[in-house]
Amino acid sequence: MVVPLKRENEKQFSTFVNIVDDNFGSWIEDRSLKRSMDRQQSLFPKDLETSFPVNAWVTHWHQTWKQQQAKLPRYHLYAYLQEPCYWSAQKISSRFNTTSFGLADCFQAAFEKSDKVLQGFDPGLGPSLSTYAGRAFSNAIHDALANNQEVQIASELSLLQRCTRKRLGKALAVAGLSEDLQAINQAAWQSFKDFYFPKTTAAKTLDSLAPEDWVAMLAKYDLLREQQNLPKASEALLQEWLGKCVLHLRHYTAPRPISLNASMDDCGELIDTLQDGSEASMTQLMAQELEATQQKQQQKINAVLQSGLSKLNPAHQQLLQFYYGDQLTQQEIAVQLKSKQYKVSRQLRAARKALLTVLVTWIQDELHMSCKATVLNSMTANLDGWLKVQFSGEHNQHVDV
Amino acid sequence: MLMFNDLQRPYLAIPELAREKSWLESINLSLLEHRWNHYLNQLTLATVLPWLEAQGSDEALISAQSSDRIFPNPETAAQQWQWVTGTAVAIHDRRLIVIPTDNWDASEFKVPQEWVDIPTWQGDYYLMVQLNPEAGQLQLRGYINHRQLKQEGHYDEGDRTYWVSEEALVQDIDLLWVMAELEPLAERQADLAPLAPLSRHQAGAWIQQLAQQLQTASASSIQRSPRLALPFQTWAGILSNPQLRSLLAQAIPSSIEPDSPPYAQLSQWLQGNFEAAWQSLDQFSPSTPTWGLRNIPAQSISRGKRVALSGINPALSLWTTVTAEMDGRMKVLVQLRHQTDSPDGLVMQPLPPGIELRLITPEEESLQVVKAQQQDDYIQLKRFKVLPKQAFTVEVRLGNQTVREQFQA
Repeated sequence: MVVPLKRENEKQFSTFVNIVDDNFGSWIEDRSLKRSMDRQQSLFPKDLETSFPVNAWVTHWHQTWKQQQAKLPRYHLYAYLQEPCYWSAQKISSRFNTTSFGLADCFQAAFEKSDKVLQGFDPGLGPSLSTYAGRAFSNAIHDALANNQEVQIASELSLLQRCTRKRLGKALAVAGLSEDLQAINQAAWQSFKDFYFPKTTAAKTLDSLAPEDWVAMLAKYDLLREQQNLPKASEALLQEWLGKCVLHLRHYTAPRPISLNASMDDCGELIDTLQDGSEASMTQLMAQELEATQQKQQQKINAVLQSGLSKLNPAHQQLLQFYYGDQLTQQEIAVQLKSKQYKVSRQLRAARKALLTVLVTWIQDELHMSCKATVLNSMTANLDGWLKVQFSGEHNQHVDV
Repeated sequence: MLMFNDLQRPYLAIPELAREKSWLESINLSLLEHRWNHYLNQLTLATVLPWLEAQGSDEALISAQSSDRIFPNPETAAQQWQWVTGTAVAIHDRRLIVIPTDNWDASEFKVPQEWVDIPTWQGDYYLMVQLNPEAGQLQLRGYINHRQLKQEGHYDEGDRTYWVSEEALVQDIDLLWVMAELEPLAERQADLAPLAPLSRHQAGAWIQQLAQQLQTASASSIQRSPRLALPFQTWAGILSNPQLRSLLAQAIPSSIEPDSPPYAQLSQWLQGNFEAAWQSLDQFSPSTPTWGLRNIPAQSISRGKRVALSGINPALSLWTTVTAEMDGRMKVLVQLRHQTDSPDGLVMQPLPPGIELRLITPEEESLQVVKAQQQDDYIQLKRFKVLPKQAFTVEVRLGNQTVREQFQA
């Protein structure tokens, strides 16, 4: 495996990962983003030029993006998110090692969440963007992998039963069906969805449906047919259409290659939308100040966590070491401790809950903030990132707290 | 199956026995369109409740009083789930609304309006559970509090739900316990306006009108649920009042109306009408030979039903063969079998030694007992005759577990 080199500061906002043969290939520089970074730097007051830290850049581009909702700052942030995205994808794909869903597929599944990550990220809450994004990306990859695997091994009946109108619609559209055909397939599926219940828990295929099931479904289809002006059907036709739906649904969940670079192509024209120089350097100064405040905040949070951790009993500390430091699974820990997996899980949760309690109390008492979902999600990302650093004793590239 | 080690959004295994039991319960519902939702709700409760209890025991959060801990309770659940999906679970003095979904796509969390806007139904927290019944597992996807769901959720008029995207959920189940203790009331619950008062008279008129509407609709079976047929305030007023609710239940077509009694009617069998859980050999498995029952005369009817006992996988089945006699009586043969699925159909397996099959009268008098010996493939009661309308019970007993099936001739 080729390990990507850490990018220099400014390059983190202008380069994109190039994955070759499901491996890291190289960093590719986007010229318009590079020009934009150069231009920003040329606007710095002289004493700033050498010491503008990465996190201040993140804050700068994130602030600018929030204010303007423009493409340019967003693409700078996309570039920055390449690393957490790559590391999440790399870690998970090497762990699960499935041929049908490799590094590039994982990377893509995660990267599709970028906009949600940028929206959900609140710089005031502690974790750095890369820590916050790392967790969101890992969740996205897990979901995509599980989904892909489940859909490939799911039976025909389960696939149809568990699908939504919206998802089927997308699958049929992606498959390139005409609108008429889409409507027919949708109606066939609706008739199935409303009237099907398995004859046994082992029922799997459309073939195993009883004649009375087809009669009920056909009756329902006929109702829809009148409303929507669809062609007449028979039991056999219904079955054929449903079989097609199954195929399209399976195709839809399989990873589809989409070039990430293609979406970056239109960056060039964006350069003109930059604000004029004086304002830009103002936001940079503010960003730097904000970044300093955030760092203080993070130091406080670290201190709170440190004191919370020191109050945990040795058994709980040991578990956290196994789970976060040594990256063992719960099963592996259970073997190590000659215990049961459910006991390990419960103990691990008790330890996490104790630390989360300390954090929540601190946010409530010191920051006087109400703990909304966004705050809590930032907090868990922060906790997990901190625990990893704390117990692995090293700063991984993808965990920079 | 790939099981991720996800601490924050844990996967839980659905117990095999719960699958079988929930399926049996669901297939007995008369209205097809309610079966699946009933099944999902049952599976969820059977899996999530024990998990919550195990988690809660650390902090003694779940109250010891278990009878009124869940709403709807098991007696009214079948009725309520055909109208509104989800179950409220009391955790200490917090209320958790558990909402199941089996959609592949879990990017949105939808909660029926009833759970949000009816003051006596509202919860503190709403838990999203995503099921994969086929793989026998579910995942706790995250939760949201009432205040955020009400204030930041999107309201969908079409199906009267509040929904949020999955990013709006707290995606760490451990925080549920932490916040349940630390989150002040004003931050976890939004204020609700009380429901507009609804007199019994008004409600009666609505229900009557509704019943007529639904009767004409049921012929075309487009919209058989009363849920969206009334203005929400009226619907909520009826639903939250136990008397009005039972009035409604009597007036409209329902899955659990007494047309499917809790016993098998053998006289109906002879006319070709069967309870859904009693299935023909073909439905059990098409390519299966008919062991032991080969000499059945043609005018006999034979049907089987799965029996769920824990520790036996797959389930046992009870086979009942009924033959009409010239004098109007019926001859009945009852068998207990143990069989596994294979590509060639069902294959007989030895019964667990010591398992008993027992014939019992309505007065609880035991008339016959048969006990399985080592390597018995099946056991059967001695053939007996019953008079029309006569009731009897067959009991399967293994250790301290019993399952009973009731019959009426």
